[in-house]
Amino acid sequence: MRSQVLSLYKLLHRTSQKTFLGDAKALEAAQLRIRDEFNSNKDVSDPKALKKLLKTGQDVQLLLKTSVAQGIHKEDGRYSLRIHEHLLREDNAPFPCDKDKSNR
Amino acid sequence: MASLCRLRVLSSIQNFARIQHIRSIATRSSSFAVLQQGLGTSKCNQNNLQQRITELTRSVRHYGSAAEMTITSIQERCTLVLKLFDKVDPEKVSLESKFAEDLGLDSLDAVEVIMAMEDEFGVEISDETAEKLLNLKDVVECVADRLDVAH
Repeated sequence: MRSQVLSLYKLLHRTSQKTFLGDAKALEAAQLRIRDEFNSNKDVSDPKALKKLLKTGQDVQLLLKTSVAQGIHKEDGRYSLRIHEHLLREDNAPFPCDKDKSNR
Repeated sequence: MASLCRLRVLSSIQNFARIQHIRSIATRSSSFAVLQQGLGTSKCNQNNLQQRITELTRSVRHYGSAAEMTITSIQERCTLVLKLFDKVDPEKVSLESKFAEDLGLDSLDAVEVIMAMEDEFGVEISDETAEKLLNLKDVVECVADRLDVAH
């Protein structure tokens, strides 16, 4: 269990490094938050509670990895999104009119 | 007239460098040396000068390679990384000092130290191995193993 926690700690740090690449403010905030969350639960010994906390950590890691995209503010007031390979991209729902056609 | 000639020399060197895709710093500094030599002979006609530049630059193309790692250089870099870690008292750092007992780091700090070492040397240290690294000496040995450096 101990090694699981430590490896999750490392994974969370590595993921936040990738997600907030080049954004010093967000990087520092993420590092502090990860550290604080782990510290605040350091005395938890109940296996059930531990399991729940581990699951939360894993979910946060997945969320950071697949659902956070950096927006870079450009001069013309628009943002460019950094779309990376792990970002969750779902298929667009097909247009209703296309569906109607194929049915006919 | 002399300054015009210098300008031409400069642009011809720039063109030459562009054509030859000269990227290494060593070559850039040596082509600067050529430039200075070229300016000394401002009376020379331009064709001769260009030929001379071509000869000189061709003879001094160098490519860099990574600095060779030794066990001492790894030790030095590891020590520096650990001293720069914000929760560590730099004066207590030695190769033998234990992360937990002597430096007062908890297990999470130890993970962060190992991560910093991985970043420093561009190596990967697995979680199982990382758990067994208790002082700087262990880390140095582990990094040396990964980099194929004898120790």
